[in-house]
Amino acid sequence: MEQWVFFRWVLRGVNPSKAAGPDGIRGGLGPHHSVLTVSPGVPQGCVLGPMLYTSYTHHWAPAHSSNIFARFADDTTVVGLIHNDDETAYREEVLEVYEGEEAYQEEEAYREEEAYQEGEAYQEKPYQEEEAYQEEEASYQEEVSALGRKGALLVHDRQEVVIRSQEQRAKKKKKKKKKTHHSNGETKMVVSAAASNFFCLFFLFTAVTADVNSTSYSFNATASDDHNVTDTYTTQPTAFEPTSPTPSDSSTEEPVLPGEPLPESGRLLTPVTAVDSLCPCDEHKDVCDINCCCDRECSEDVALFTSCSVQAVSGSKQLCSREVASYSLRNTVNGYSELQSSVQEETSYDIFCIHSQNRVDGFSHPPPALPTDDNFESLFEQFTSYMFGSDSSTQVSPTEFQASPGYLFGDVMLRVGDSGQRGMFWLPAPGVTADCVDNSPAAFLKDQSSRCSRRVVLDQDCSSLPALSVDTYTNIQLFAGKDVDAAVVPVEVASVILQSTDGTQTELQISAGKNLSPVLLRPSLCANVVLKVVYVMKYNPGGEIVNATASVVLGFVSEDMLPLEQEFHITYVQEDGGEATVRYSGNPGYVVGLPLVSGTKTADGIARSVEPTDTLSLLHSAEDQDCLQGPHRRSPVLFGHNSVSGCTLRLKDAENCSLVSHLLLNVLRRPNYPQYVASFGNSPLDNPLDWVQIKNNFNPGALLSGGSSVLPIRSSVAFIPVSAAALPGYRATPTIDAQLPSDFFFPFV
Amino acid sequence: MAFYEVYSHPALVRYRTGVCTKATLFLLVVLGLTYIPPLLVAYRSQGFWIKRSTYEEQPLVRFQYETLLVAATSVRGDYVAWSSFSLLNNMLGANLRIPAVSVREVDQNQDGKPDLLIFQLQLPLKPDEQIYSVQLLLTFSYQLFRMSTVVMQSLAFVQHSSPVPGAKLFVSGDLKLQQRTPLPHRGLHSVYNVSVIDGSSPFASSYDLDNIIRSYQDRNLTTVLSCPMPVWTVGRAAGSPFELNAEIRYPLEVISYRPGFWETIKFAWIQYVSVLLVFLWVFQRIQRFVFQNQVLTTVPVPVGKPHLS
Repeated sequence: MEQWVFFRWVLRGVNPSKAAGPDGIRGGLGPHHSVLTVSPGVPQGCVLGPMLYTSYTHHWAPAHSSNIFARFADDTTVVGLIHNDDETAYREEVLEVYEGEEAYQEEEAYREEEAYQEGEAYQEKPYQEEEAYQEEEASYQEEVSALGRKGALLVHDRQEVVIRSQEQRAKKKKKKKKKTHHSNGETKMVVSAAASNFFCLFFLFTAVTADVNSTSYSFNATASDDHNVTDTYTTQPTAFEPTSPTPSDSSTEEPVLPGEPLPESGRLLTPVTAVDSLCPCDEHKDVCDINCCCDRECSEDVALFTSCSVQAVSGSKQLCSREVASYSLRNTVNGYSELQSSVQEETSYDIFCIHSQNRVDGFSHPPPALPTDDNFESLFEQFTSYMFGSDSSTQVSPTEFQASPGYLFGDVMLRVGDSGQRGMFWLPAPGVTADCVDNSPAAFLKDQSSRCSRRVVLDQDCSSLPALSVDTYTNIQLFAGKDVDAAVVPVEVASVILQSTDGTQTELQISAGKNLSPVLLRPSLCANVVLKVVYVMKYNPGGEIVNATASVVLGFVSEDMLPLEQEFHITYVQEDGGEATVRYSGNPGYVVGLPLVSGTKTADGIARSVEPTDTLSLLHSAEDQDCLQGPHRRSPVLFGHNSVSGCTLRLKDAENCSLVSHLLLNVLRRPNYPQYVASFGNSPLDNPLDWVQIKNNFNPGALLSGGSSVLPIRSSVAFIPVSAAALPGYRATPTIDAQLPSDFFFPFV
Repeated sequence: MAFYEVYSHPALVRYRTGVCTKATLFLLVVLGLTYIPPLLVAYRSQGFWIKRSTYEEQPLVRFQYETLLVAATSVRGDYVAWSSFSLLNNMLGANLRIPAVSVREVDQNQDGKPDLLIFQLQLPLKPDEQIYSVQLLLTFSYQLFRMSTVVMQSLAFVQHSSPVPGAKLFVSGDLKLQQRTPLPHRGLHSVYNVSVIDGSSPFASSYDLDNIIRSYQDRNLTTVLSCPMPVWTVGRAAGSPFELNAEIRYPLEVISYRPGFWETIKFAWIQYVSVLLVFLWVFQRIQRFVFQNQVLTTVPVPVGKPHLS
């Protein structure tokens, strides 16, 4: 078996800052070292044997007390604390690791090969100067080409080859560019990351490309030296508990140039990781926040505190050892409080705790894409779902043209507006409430009837409110079609009916000069108010309106009729059609909800009225509830609807009983009620067999008044279905003789 | 000398018979009685074919920022209204009253699915107006992914009225899913991915709450705001706006679905086999008794003996 081992160490140095804080750590390998590449390690992206790796690297231990080895799975990080620009301990540690690994490898006494020699010679070059770097680049090219010629399988068991990809150099160049950048920061950490792997089997050239692909990862790892850790050795950015959220950018010291917007910098701010510098409850700058024990301005006010609003700030609970800054109050003898705060290392005894982590952003959300000028639109598209103002409704503009010159079904009809422009033809209708909405348009060929209420103050609105005036509904000029040059069709007044306050209606003769606008007769009575408008539109097959007529009911409105109810109808009639069309109540059978068709017998068949409401009907309940006081409203009998209504009969003592019963019958079923009902919704009139005679079974019984002189009279309709119930299953299911139930083979049939 | 059982194995005895014998008939009867009655027992004891099953999922609900508010401002029936539909707002005319609205959708467990909608509305009122009733309609986009992918647009409707004018209405409830029929176990279910309110319609009837609720309740899959305890606070000061605060949670739903073919077969198979094992054991004993005791005449062939014929 061929086992290939690749180690790669990348040590990144950072220039120490010129002005270190009082307790700051400064990192780096000194001003003269920028990058040192060490041979142990494997390229990123290899399949990893963690157990073997752990056993091979277990002997590593920090030689200096100021250094820490942080390991997790395949990654090893050397973390060092640097005092006063003296990084010798850290440097020794790194070299120790490197040389120690070398010695360890030599102990294993593996053969050395040509390729190994090349790699070794290559890796031992110190990369200190730019010139050296140039040389490396040349030698690297040679090396890669040499290796390429020899093929990839030159390296045998447990031997090391250093592969420096172009990507790493690019990184190094980037690093150099950032020198000034880094010197702005006050404190720096030194982090050297290593990724090791065993049993990595791949060709050399693929290794190079794999390294290229994985650089984003290693870049993340090495970029962690920008973390501002003030007085802790923690290298991992720590996710905080929900009770202690990471505060905003004020406490991080990301070297962003002042005045530069965030997208310009191209980076997000890094989280603060030191638990004792975090104070989530510190909400006022330079002012003590009450009961905020971690607020540094509260040194004197702490005596007044009763409890700590934030009692502990800690790192992630998933870590094996985490730092916890705890705050508590203690009562002193004089009744005041005293703050006790401490930062402790807390150990988690969970067997699956994380001892150390190599992924810098392992505890946090994946870094989001930063919006810049280039990708703003795409990010906006990607993340925007719903918001206010994204009203998808398109305004129906009157100047919208389509191919056909005429209206189509459902189109909004156009009229000549007040100042000559094109406007919509409105038909008031109830909107979100029962009140009239005047701006609702009428749709072409959609018969519509609406009833809505209107709030009116009579003495103010009688003559001024346009909705009450007949001119509003009749002085309209419609456009015959949607075209700009469509003909103008004026609405003609077909009839005007005047309704008195008690409901009697008389037809007015329309004369030219007659003023029909509302007039205030008394403070509480307004005459000529529009109560009902019926439009009849004639259209031709081209979708053009040929003729429009309006029938108006005007009436007197008194205070007790308010809010005023208005009724609007619009119907569409074909141009060459007859005056009235016979409506079927279903074709062929009745449709539930349509009125029964009824008629009377004549010599040559059955006669019926074309008026759909003039049919078998029921008395409609009225407010005075008196059977003998007319006029009565009637409602047609609708197919399939069982209904009941009634009235009350007030018996006087000396009433003629037979007359009363005759009157009652007339009231309950109109004076000349129809005798025949159609069997089908479309029964032809000349086929008497399709018509069923109404049977009267009238036996006047004794009216038992029961001591009361008010007797309820009731008329009701019941439809009794005699059809068989619909049964599940098939009429001729293939039956099994064993009489299995129908769903015995449920999933199969 | 003590003996112990060092090893044991069952001995195989074969019983042979002709085709047209009583033993053959007996064998057929036993086979029939062994395998068919368990099926009948399993079926007759109900639940043989599962026709409905349930699973749990938290839906992906997003507020669509479509709102319709109607508030009665007097006992006579005066009202003010506002919606996020510009066509309706144009129609409302003088009754339009634009409130201050703030909306926040909270993802409490950071799993990418919002868990809570906080809707705050402040309706400014004129000095002579009081709020007696409030109707609020919010629309949501509702998505399920686990079994069948369901994409629909749904609504929540808040309606409260009081004879006493109010200062605040607080509503906190769950947006619950209501199913009339179980969902299919796979596939895309986007029948109801249509707008609850047609915001592009210029007709007033499209915004009639009657029509909206009627067509919405025709659906087999709806959401309903279950808010058992709306809080109506009285005592509004003159000049202060009416406040409507709603907290609508999107809880984990138990969704019933119609299991697929293999799930149905799997559960039927388990039931059948468990009953079959009992029958197998019983008829094994019966067969052994019948053949061992030669109740029916057969020719036994002991182990090791070369077969006759």
